[in-house]
Amino acid sequence: MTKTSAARRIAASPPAQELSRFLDQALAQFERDRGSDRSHAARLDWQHRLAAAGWAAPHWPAEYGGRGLGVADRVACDLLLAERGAPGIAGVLGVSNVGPTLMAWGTPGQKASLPRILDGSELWCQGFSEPEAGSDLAGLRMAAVRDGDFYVLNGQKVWTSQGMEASHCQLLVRTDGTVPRHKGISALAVPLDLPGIERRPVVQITGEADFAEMFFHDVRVPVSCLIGPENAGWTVTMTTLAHERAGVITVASLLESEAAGLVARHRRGGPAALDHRGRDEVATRYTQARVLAMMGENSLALAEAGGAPGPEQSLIKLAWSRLSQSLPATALGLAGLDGLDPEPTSPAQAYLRARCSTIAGGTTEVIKNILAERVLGLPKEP
Amino acid sequence: MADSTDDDLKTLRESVRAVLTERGGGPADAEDRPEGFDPGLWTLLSGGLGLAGLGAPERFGGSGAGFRELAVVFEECGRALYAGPLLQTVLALDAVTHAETVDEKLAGDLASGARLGAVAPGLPPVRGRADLGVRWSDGALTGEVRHVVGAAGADVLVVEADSGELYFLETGAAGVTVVPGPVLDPTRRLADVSFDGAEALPLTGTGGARRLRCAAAALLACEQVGAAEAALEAAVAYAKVRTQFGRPIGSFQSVKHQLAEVLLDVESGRAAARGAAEALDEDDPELEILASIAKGWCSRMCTEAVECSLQVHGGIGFTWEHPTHYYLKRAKTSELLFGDCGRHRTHLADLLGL
Repeated sequence: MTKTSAARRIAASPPAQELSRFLDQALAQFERDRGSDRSHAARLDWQHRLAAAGWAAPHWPAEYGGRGLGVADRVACDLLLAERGAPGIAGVLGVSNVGPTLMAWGTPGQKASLPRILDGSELWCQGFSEPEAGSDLAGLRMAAVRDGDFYVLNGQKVWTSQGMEASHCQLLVRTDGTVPRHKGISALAVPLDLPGIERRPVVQITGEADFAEMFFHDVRVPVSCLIGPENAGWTVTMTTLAHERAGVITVASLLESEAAGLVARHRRGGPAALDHRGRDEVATRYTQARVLAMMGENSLALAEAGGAPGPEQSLIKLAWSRLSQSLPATALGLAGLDGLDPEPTSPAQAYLRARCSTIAGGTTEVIKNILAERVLGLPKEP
Repeated sequence: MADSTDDDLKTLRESVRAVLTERGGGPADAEDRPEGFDPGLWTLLSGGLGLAGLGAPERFGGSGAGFRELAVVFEECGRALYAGPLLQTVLALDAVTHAETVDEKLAGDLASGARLGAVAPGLPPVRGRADLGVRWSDGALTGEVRHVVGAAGADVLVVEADSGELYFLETGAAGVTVVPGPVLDPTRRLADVSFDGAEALPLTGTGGARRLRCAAAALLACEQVGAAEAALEAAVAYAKVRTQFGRPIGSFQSVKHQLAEVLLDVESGRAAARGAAEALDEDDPELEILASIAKGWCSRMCTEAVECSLQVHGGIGFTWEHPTHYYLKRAKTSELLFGDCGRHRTHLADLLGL
C-alpha cells in the first residue's frame, strides 16, 4: 500500500519519532489504567500525562512549557497522535487557541494561566457566536458596560465548544456600540464561576453534547480581565485564528488516512469487495483526499518557508469540509442498512457528525464569499 | 537546474509568458498556417529558450532540468493555448532518453527542436487490458493508432505496441501512413497513423510505456491547469465590468460562488499536476497513481472551468469572435486525450486493489 503524506511527515520529523517512543509506553499504560474510556475525565487524565512529559503543547515556546516546534514538526506530532489512536486532550481549545492568544496579548497575570492551560487544571472555551451573530460574527451584541473597575456583562453565547466542561472563557463582548462594528469589540478572559453565568448543553443531531449555550446576567468582570486593548477584540481574535493553520493542514492530512482506510477495507477479493459503482466512488474519494493532502503539503512548505497564511487556507478548509462529509457518506452507503446504528463509532454517526463541517468555523457560503472577494477581487454585495 | 528554487521557477514562468504574450502562438497562429503553428516562434521557444530540451540530461543536448520545470512551462502553454509541437516533442525526447541505448543524434535533434516528435502511448490499462491497436512482430509494426497529436508534422514517432514496449520509427519510413483528422480544435491537430509492416526500433529501458503514459498525463494535466486558470481569469475580469440590474454581475453571490468553486478546482488541479510531475522526477513508486489522479482530476476540472467561464460571459462567450470557444475545444480535446476521467479513475481503482 502507498504511504500517506501523514506517514511521510511523521517519518521525517525527529520530534515525532521521540513522541512515538514516549507513546509506546504511555499509551500502553493508559490502556491498562483506563481501557477504551474516552470520557472527559479520561481525556483530562491523558492531558496530565502528556503535560508531565512535555508533550501537551510541543508547539508552544519552551519558556511556556512547550518544545518550540515549528509547524512541520507540530503537524507531524498531531498526525502521529491521531494515527496511534491517542485520546484527545481535554483542554484542546486552551492549548491550540487561547494559549497562543494570551502569549501574544496577555498581561503577566493572564500569562500565569499558561502552565495551568498546559496541564489541564484550567480548561478554556471561546465564547464567540451568539444567536444573532453566527456567520456575521462582528454583529455580536453581548454588552459589556464599564462600571468602575468592572465590566458588567449581559447577553447570550451559543455554540460554545466545550462550554460545559470549561473553567474559563475567552469571551468576545461589545464595549462600544457607537463605532463601526469591528471596532467596538473587546476580548475578556472570564472565569466561569462568576455569579450570574448559567450554562446549558446543546444536544446535537448525534445525541452528543459538545457545545454549550451560556447566559450572562449582570456578570461583573474585573477590567484586569481585558485581553489586549479595549475595543481591539477583533484583532486579538484574528491572532488566534492565524494559529489554526497547522490544524487545517493536520485535518486535511487525516482525511487522506481515512480515505486510505476506506480503500483498505474494500480490497478486491476481500469480504467487502465493491461493485463497479462502489469502486468508482471509492476511487473518487481517494483522489479527492490525495489532492487535498497535496494542497496541505504545499501549504506546509509555504509555512516552513516563513510565508504568511494565504488563500490556500480557505481553499483547504472548503475542500476539507466537503470531503469530510462525502467520505463518511460513502462509507455509510457502502455499509448499507448495517451502518444505521446509534453507537458513537458507527458510519451513521460519522455521517451525522460531519454535517457541521460546512457550518462550523465559517460556512461554505462565507468561505466562498471570502475567496471571491479577497482572492479573485470580485466586488462586494452592494 | 534540477533543483530550481521557487525564484528560478518564477523567472522561467515569466520568460515563457512574456514570449507567448508577445508572439501569440495560440489559435490565430494555428488557424492561419498549414503546419498549424508558427515555425519562427517554435525556433525561439525550442532553440532560444531551450524549452524542448529543458527536461533532458545535458549529455543529450538538454538543460538537465526536469518535470518540475516542465510543469511551469506547460501551465503557461495551456494559458496561451500554444499550438506548437512542444508537448509531443518533449514526450518523445523523454522516451528516447530513457531507453537503454540512447540515440544521441536523435536526442540532440529533438532537444534542439530541429526535429519534431509525436507519441502514441496506450491508454492506462483497465484490468490489465490496454486495448492497443498496433502489433509488434519480426522487427516491424502493423496496425493503426488513432488521434495522434501532431503526427502529421512530426519527423519521428514513439508508439506503444501490444507487447507493452515502446518503438521508435520515422514518420517517413516505408509502411507508415499518416492521415490528418478533422480539425475541431485548431491548436491541437490530430492524425491517424497506420503501420503496414513498418520497421521500428524497440526503446527498451528504464522508462518504457508506463513512463510515457504517465508523462503524457502529467504534462497534459499541467496544460489543463493553465488553460483553466486563464478561463477563470477571463471570467473574473468580465464579471467585474459587465453590469446588469445596475451592478457588476460579479457582485452577485451566484456568480461569485461559481467562480470560487472554479478557483478551488483549479488550485486543487495544480497541486495534483505538480504532484505527478514531481513523481516523474523522483521515479516515485506511486507515479502511476499520481499521474492518474492528476489527469483524472484536471480533465473534468478544465472542461468545467471553461464551461463556467462561458456561462459567466453570457452571450458573448457563445460567439466565434470571443476566444472562449478555443478554450472549450482545447479543454474537450485534452479531456479525452491520453485517457479521460473515467478511464483514469478505473485504472486508479485497479492500482489501489479495489
